Amino acid sequence: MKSMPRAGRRQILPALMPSNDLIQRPPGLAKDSTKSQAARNYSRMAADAFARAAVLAGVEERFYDIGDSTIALRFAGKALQPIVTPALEHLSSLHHAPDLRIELADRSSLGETLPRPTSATSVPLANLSYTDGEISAVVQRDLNTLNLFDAKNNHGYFWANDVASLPWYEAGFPLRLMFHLWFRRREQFFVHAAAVGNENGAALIVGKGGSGKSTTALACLEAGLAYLGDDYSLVKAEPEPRVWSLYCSAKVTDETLVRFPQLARFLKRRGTDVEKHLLFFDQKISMKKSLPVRAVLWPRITGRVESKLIPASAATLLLALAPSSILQLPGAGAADFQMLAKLLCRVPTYILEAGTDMAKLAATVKNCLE
Amino acid sequence: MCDAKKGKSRLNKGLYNICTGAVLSLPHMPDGPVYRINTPQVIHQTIDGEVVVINLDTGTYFSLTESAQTIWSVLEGGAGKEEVIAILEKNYSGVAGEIESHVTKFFDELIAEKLIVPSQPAEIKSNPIADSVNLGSKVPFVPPALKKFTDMQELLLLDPVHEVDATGWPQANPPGAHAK
Repeated sequence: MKSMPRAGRRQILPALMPSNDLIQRPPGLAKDSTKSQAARNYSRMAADAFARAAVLAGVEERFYDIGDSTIALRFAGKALQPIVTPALEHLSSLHHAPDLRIELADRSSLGETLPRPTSATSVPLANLSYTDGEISAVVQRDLNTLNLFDAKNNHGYFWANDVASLPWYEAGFPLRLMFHLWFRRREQFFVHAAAVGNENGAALIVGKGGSGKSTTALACLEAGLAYLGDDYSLVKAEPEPRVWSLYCSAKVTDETLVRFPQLARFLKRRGTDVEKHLLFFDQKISMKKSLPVRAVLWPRITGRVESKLIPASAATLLLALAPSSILQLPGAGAADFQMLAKLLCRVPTYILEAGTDMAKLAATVKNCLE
Repeated sequence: MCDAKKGKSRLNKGLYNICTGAVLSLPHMPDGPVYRINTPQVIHQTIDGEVVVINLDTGTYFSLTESAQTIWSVLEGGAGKEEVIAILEKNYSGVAGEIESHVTKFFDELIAEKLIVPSQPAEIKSNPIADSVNLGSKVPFVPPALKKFTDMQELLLLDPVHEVDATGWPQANPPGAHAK
């Protein structure tokens, strides 16, 4: 078995003093911007806490080419690494000059929770999410995690209070909000969509959970199409519609594993509370990092054997793509909506009547790429 | 593939006549209350005569076509109900009073869904669409409909809003929070 390249991995660094970019922050915002100043103050406190965690637990840094960016993940301690890195392994990079650096720490690396915001800093942060364009902060309540993003310094901070309590599915799609906060500034958008393709380009497969995105993507993977993702992808509308792979994972049900038994070899993490599991693909399957988008499909499971494509309006596909993407992402709004509409205006859009014959389903998708 | 997919954008670029694309002007201010789209909580896009609207506060989203799309396009510049009724009566054929009653009902729905809100007079400087909307010859009136979707509201259950207390930040997870 060939393992994925590990070019991005570095040995654990000795516990050094925190780097300057962690402790020297830019000047505060305008004096009349109380909330922005408070957010900056909290950001500075949090950065200091991450620096302490790095000193206490040691640092390991990995590099990834994601979208149009090289991103460094700088782990304080080891606890978060098995949660964050497996789904990004296919994007490991040899480039060590990152556009974005994300610090990752948890309570075990710091030995305590993050400092509590003082009354001076809690003004904007008591109600999260918060953004002033420069500092963005989002607490994911269901995960008990903090995403703090400093756009001016191209620096992100991801905190998990308790790694052991993170839900099983988090390893499949890590750092979603951090990627969203970073890439939307580069006019790339984190979307709730699967993507598969070939040398001609990619089909983006949209729809809410349970609509058939994963099944369609896995059927295509089995039929030899390249895999870019089964649940989340990164897209851009201009200058041409384009999709990037984010995660080499797939969230599947027991039923899916029965339908695609040969994929069971990729099963790495079983769900704990539901009958869903995570697959992590490696070089044994065809994966692409990026392709031009040639069609957008909205699957509808019919129960019939045959599959077919029915031309649909871009507005219909916008209904399937935009709400399920935008409503998951704090801070997403009108500009993101417009970008998704632009993308859908520029490529053929279809309802995919997804039949029960997986080979025919994949052939139908392949047809729209010809 | 339609024209837009060959390179011509079908997106609304702003305030314009939905048929001719001409930029239009508002000759007078309306007499009654004026409403505007409830931005930034409400976001919207129009493609090929269909408006897709998302209320970011509630997680509901909507589709508007035909006369509902016409009304929405007028509201993009801020408009009163009487003004909308006048525009529809000019462009649609129907039984007397029918348009008014349906527009009133439709406005009530838009207000109840918080998709439009009353405007302050200072917010309405001019409406380039307003009473210049011209569909050519009159077309049969189809009552405006607000097609509503609520299946994404569950995503708001993952609302990141979080309060701070003395135990540190973030707080411990509430029991059962991972049921997904």
